[in-house]
Amino acid sequence: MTASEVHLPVSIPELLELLKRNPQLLLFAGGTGILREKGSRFIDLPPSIALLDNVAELRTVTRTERYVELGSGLRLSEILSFKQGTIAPILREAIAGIANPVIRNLATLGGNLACRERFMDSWSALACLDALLEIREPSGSHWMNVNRLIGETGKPALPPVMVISRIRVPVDSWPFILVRKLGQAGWPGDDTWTFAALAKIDKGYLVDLRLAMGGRCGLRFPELDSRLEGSSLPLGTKEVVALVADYREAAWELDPDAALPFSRMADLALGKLR
Amino acid sequence: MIVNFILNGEDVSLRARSGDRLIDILRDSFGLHAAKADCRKGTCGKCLVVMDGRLVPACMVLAFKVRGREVITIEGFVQTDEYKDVAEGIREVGLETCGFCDAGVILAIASAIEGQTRPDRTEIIEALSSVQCRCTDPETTLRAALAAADAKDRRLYARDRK
Amino acid sequence: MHEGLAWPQNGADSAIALSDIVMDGLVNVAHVRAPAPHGRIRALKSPTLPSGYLMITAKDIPGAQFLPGLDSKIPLLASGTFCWKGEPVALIVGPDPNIVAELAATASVEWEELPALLDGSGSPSSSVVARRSFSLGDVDEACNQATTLLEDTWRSSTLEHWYSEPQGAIAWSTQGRVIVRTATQWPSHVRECVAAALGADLARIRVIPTLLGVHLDGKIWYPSMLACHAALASRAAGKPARVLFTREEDFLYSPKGARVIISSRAALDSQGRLSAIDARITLDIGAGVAFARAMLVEAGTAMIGAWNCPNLRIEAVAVTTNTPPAGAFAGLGAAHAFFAAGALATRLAEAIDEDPISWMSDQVLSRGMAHPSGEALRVELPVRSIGGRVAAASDFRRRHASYELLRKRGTAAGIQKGIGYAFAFQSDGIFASDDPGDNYSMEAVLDKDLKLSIASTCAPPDGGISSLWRGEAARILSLPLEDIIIIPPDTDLAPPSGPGIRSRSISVSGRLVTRVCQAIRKRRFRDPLPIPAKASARVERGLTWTETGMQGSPFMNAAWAAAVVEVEINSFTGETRPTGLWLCIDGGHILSTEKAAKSLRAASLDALWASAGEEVMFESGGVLHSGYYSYSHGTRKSLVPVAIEFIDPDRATPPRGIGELPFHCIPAAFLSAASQALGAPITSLPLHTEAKLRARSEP
Ligand SMILES: Cc1cc2nc3c(=O)[nH]c(=O)nc-3n(C[C@H](O)[C@H](O)[C@H](O)COP(=O)(O)OP(=O)(O)OC[C@H]3O[C@@H](n4cnc5c(N)ncnc54)[C@H](O)[C@@H]3O)c2cc1C
Ligand code: FES
Ligand code: FES
Repeated sequence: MTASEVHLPVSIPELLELLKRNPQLLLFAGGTGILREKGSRFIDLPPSIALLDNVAELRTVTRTERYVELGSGLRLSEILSFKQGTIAPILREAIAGIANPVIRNLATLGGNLACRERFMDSWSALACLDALLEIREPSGSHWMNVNRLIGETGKPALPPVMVISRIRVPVDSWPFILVRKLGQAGWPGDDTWTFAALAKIDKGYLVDLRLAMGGRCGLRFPELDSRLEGSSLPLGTKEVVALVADYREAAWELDPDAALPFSRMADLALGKLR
Repeated sequence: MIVNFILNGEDVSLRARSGDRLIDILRDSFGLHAAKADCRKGTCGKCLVVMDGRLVPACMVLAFKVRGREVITIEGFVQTDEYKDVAEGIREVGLETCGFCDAGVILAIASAIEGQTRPDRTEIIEALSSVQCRCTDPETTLRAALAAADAKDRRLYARDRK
Repeated sequence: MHEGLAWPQNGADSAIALSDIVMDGLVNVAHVRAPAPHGRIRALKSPTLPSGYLMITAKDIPGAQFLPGLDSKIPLLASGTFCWKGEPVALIVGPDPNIVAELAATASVEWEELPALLDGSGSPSSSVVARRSFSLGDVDEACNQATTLLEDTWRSSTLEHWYSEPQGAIAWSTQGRVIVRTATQWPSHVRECVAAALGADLARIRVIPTLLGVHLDGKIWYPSMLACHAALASRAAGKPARVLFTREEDFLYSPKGARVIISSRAALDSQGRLSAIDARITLDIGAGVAFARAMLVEAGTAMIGAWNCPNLRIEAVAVTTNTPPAGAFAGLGAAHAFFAAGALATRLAEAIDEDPISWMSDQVLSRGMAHPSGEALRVELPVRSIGGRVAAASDFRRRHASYELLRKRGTAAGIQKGIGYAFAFQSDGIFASDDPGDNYSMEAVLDKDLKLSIASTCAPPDGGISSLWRGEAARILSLPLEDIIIIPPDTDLAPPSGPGIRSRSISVSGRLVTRVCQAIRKRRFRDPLPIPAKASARVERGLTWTETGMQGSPFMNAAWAAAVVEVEINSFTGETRPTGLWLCIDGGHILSTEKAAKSLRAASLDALWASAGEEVMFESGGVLHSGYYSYSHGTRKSLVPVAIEFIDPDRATPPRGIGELPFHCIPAAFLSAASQALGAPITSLPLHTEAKLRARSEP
């Protein structure tokens, strides 16, 4: 039961300075991810913690014509309370499926994306949207496509010492969206996955298709997504069956346990489009 | 560490360890026993409290996160008119509980009906999904929430007419 | 249960939660636990204990080392050997609950591995602790002659009770006596165990129960164990001592609902009649529990059921394994077999294209026929009437046929629907011979101020039942409700009684309420006030199934239920959504249909959720730790419409226990519904996502 030193930074530069001095510093946003799998009375924490609650820049919302930028410290329930049209419906749906209303009153979007063990529920929706993350490191900052969070083994690959400050989410409209959680309800476990799909249809043609699934690994296959682009609707059964088989194959390569859920969901999404 | 916060309207201060959970602080240091420490994983809702106006599980809030905030427990909430609406709803439908999840159920019903517009069945079910209870029939709890919404409407109407 | 919202404040009332009790100088107790499923203890190394902290091992127990009054031999603290991963080996006692937990985790047990049996399915003879067998006719011949023969293996996994409050106990000494507080279904047993552990006189021990809430039979005997731990700790520390599990600890180490495997064979003759049932039931009770034999007999009796079947062979064994204790769950064993028996009956009916409800009603014993025990049925069983009512209420036949059709056609959206039916009974009078705790007592006094107090340690587990007792007393004595006081089930204030199981607080104690009140009524205008009355009763024996044979009828005072469950399964995602549940109950006189319906609805959803996904997973003999976080016992998001009908609830019969009926019939109906939806026989509970996905053909 060691005591921890708790820092209360009020700005990102201050936070980065703390991180530079102590790369082991634990960033504490809502805490709902950090406290997972800790059911004992007392919680043993690392020696140094930075509570993100007072960093105002992490709580801003900026809107342009093409995208909305969400501060990573926004709580999930706050994002859900934005008026209709502020954020992409697919992201709203994914967030609404996370935990329960009282956890969403604490949990932040940044904490959801910064999980290092698995891809949490907002990721697949953001991956379909090709959202960007602003990554701030002591050495500098850059924007990164959420799809690039998939490391070589399929697991999340985040820079070791960094702050996710903003999430840039495109706002263009998608007539077809699908979000499904698979596996046991409750805390996301080894066999739970979140699948998301987006499609655009123009004059009876499929013009854009994006499928993603997150769980213990992340799955997104843009080359396969583009295979049926330009096809007229309804899609041909043969093409769909072949594409589903290829999704399955690609998922199998990454994680054999992901193959069945991913191909089923691809089948569901394409079936709905058909 | 010293933790200062507002508890049920009063400034309080105590010495706590960073790894102490708010639920244990409330129960052990302030003798507020209505909210229970049960699952300690954010799913059962028996530890719910209102923190800065939002309903949160007190088992998922650590001591350092409470500093400077305002916390209302069910013991504080019973002083409000909103509580009376919920109590009326519960009495009306005859919801009987073992007492273990009362704090969670009452605050979850209150949060379901707190908005400007009257919640529908789905919204109430969603709000009540934060509390898991073995003993009661969920349909009766749902009806209690609807009855509480009626009680709230009646109270506001009476107030506006005055 | 108390009505409305006045949650208990600190005080000595029985509605207080154990965790709410505050006492000066209270010390806390944590368990040092066995590190593996089976081993010999070579040494137990205490951590360095700060001042004010101490460790207790088996050799510090002044009295009995084992819990008395149970049919398994369960040590208070393991010594010499340990038999399951997590078994208590020592207690660490001290003021800070966090520090005792940390010290217990750092204590080390030096041990030597012994061969461990983690799976009871093979049931090697050395692990069989109880056995019941029964046979009638010639099963093998009937199977040879059968025109339809179904063979299957049914499984139901370990179940978690998730009662209102995690287990625990507080004990302290005052004026030469030991006071114990714990949430228990059996206060008299707690008292007996604590007295035995301390080597003290029974009269020196007082048990004042705390809030019980819904327990699903998870608090029959384990509170006695923890009460002994608290009493030992209090004795050693000279202070009040508390054992209080966190929910996580409770999930990992408290007794669970037992696992069961049933291998079955069932045959139909050329006219589609049930001609043989051949079943082997293996009940895995882990490291041992209370009522193992009673459970076995209930499970066997459920498998025999009410069928008019000339050839029967039932072999039921309880096996111990090196896994956590596992026993009762919402009843003593009947639910452990009804799930398979009911689903099997549907499979048989469907195999010959018969409507399950009509076919089952046709296969049931009629009045005058003999139960396999030899006892003739004196009344008609209500199976046909409850089946007919629930079929009509749910529109079963039309839905069943149309879901069959839809499934064959296949729907584009991947939503498959299914509907299932099952019936079952709940009987209080099934005995394995010398079952403990079947004696119940009650005392009542009509005071000078015309207030009636009723005392029994077979406590009403909730406000619903205590208000039924009060209602009954008010009716008999024509007293206002508020003048009837139910005394808390405190062992100093109420006579000893058997456990609050099998709805006995309604069936047995309910009858005792009637008897004490009638006794007072007789003397009311003759004798001066106060008028006391006492009554006690043994549970009436219906069926007794010993090692040598079976006698009597399980249907005496039985309540009956028929259930229809409808489910929707998304074959793409495996998502299962029960969409409707209909129950028809024949439970004799129902004291309050409104209260009964409320508690049956809650129990029905518990039974449904337990079937549809709640699961306790294991890893190397212990409960899988991470499983605690993925476990969820259902949320209101899955609120299902439940329709309940009672048959003739006002008739003048004694009240019967009905509380377990949902657990007896809903899992079977659910299995049949899920099987229809998936187009594949489902034989395991709970239903896994994996099973759902695999059951559908590949895309
Ligand atoms: C009961 C329960 C149910 C849950 N169910 C779901 C579910 O259904 N779906 C789901 O997706 N999740 C679920 N979660 C997990 C969790 O609530 C969410 O992932 C949540 O969004 C995490 O956010 P947080 O603010 O609480 O993160 P925290 O717990 O504060 O942090 C999580 C991790 O992210 C890091 N971090 C936080 N913010 C930043 C930042 N800005 N920059 C860099 N690193 C950062 C932290 O250091 C930590 O490593 C559940 C949790 C609980 C307790
Ligand atoms: S104890 Fe906090 S949600 Fe269960
Ligand atoms: S836990 Fe008992 S009423 Fe909810």
